[in-house]
Amino acid sequence: MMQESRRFRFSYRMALDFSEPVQKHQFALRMIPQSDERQQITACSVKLEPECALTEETDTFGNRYVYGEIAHLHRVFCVEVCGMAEVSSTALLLCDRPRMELAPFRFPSQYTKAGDCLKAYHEKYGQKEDEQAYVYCVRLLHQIYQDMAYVQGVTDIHTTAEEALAGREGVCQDYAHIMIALCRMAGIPSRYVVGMMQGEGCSHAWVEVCADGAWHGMDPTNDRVTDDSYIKISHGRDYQDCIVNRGTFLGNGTQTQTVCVRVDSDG
Amino acid sequence: MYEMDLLDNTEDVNRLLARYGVKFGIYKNNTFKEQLFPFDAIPRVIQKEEFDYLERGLKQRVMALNIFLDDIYHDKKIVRDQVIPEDFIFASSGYMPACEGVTPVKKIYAHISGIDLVKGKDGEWYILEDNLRVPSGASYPMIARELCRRSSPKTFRDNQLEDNRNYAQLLRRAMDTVNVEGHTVILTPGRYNAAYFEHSYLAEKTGAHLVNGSELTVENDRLFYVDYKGKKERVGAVYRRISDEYLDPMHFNPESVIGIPHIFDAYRKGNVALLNAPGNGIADDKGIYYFVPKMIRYYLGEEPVLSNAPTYLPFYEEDMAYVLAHFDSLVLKDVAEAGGYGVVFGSSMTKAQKADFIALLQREPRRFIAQEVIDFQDLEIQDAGSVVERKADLRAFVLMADEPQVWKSGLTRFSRNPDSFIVNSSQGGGFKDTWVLSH
Repeated sequence: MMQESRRFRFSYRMALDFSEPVQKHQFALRMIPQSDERQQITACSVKLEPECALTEETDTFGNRYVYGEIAHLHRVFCVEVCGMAEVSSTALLLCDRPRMELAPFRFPSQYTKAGDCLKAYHEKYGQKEDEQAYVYCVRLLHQIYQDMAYVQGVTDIHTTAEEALAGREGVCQDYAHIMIALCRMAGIPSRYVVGMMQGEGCSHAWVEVCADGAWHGMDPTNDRVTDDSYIKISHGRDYQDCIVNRGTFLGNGTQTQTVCVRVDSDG
Repeated sequence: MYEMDLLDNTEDVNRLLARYGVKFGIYKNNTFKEQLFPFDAIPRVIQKEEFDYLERGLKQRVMALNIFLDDIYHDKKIVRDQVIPEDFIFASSGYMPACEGVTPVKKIYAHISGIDLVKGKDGEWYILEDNLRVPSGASYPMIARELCRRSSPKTFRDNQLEDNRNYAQLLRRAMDTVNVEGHTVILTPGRYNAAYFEHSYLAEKTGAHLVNGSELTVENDRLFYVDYKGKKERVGAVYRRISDEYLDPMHFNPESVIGIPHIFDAYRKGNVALLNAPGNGIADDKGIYYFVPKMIRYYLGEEPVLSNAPTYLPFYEEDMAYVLAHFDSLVLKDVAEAGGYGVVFGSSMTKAQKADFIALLQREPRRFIAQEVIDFQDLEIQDAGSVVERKADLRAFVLMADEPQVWKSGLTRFSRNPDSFIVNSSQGGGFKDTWVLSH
């Protein structure tokens, strides 16, 4: 049985530089991609600096996460996840759970509550009668792409879908939240996805919508349905469920985060 | 039934309460204000038979709510069987997906419940709301009783009433019942919390450690108390008032500085008990309140002993029609608010306010419940030397050990404003001791 697929070598590097040494640094990382019907992770390693013992767990949404603590003083915290992925261009990500179990993806979450802007937008562009859920979602992603301008720095990690839509500007997180909010208003289960795209840069966020028994990736930021160049890391109701690095530590000073994601075609 | 010195010494008792720190801290317009919680010495007296009846109803209610929580985070039978529409569960901010499939020690979710009741002029008791996220208030009648016994010893010699100083034992039992191994601690966000007096008082009375978040740490999915020398000792149960959202920055609000990183991991692996359980917000949601009598019939197969105040859900079309037709005689409550906020009376709105509100109600029917205004009994209170009548409610406390136990007392709160029905302490009311006669 032959299946269309592509092989990638990926590395996701995240570094925190502290201006003053910190200690008792506890962290939880959601940056390890998992195998599913669409993607096979054939190799994966996690490297930490300073080195530290890790506990691995699966959260309520099925994401793998690792956590640990660096008790001693340190100025740099660096994580590097490297591996190989084989992504299919045809396989569907099944969604055969009873509708009730999809409830967290059907109702508004913290970032996706509808205010007047979303309601007006939904009124104007909402799902038409006889329009299939998948078709509607594709139309919606193009519509959002058209109406939004990709601008960095105007929104931040606290910006909700409603606020981003009101300002008509934002980044991938905002595009995804807007799309999720609108899908849920139409009763279509949808979830926030964090992952990587072929090339070099930052991590990316997009949307998965459930239609006809499968999850379909939609990327309103890039005006397209996802294909085999997308490697998924985690999913949840919205940004907060997928935060890549959560941490607390003791110490003064400030932290600077640098992220470098690289995905190269392998053969 | 009381000696006059009980009333005459009210001022002294209040002075002592202030010195002990019986205060209520409230945030208003972003500033923190501490105010005294004025005590009125005329007790609310409840006859034994009447309290026995309340006790039966309260136990039944808390049992049903506890089963409901277990059902919601596991099988969801009550939703599948369409007793409760799914919107009321999953669109509620109290529902926490992180608690899905997590079973707390001994399946106890509602370790401490505060059930608010009022007695109508018709002599019937009505439930106004359930509080299942560690309700505060028990410490006030406890300390007031202690001081009054000193201010008027004869009163307490002559009257046969239930001693309410056993709250500490009931609480201790509730905590010990679920303690996994090690210490029991009372976790407080600190002295700027509205309930700081209560935390310190209950810690003293139960013998639990009073700790703040920085004194607790999680290692290998176990919770430890770190003492001043850095020595770590295992903690098996945590009484906490920190809301779920701030409990663990690794799972919930990532910016919480009062939470304990990874405490939720320890909890979901069964290595520590949290009182009350995370996720309880779904059970004391004002929208869910409407369904509690249905819940009692559904889970226990019994008729509810205690009634709700007559409540309408504008979510249902026929209820909406009723609400619109009887708007002026109803009180409307925003299901997302607590502490007496988000409560409006139809009769007190201007025409314009009413039109705006009805428009909002029609846009977001799920957000509100409407209730008949219960004409509840007034209680006597002292006011500048004379006795006047004011509205009052009762917060009864139910503690769950292996089975529910009702504390034979309660917090009676009254409104000092003669025209107000809102008795919440955060709205400036006062309190009374609640006497339950022992025969």
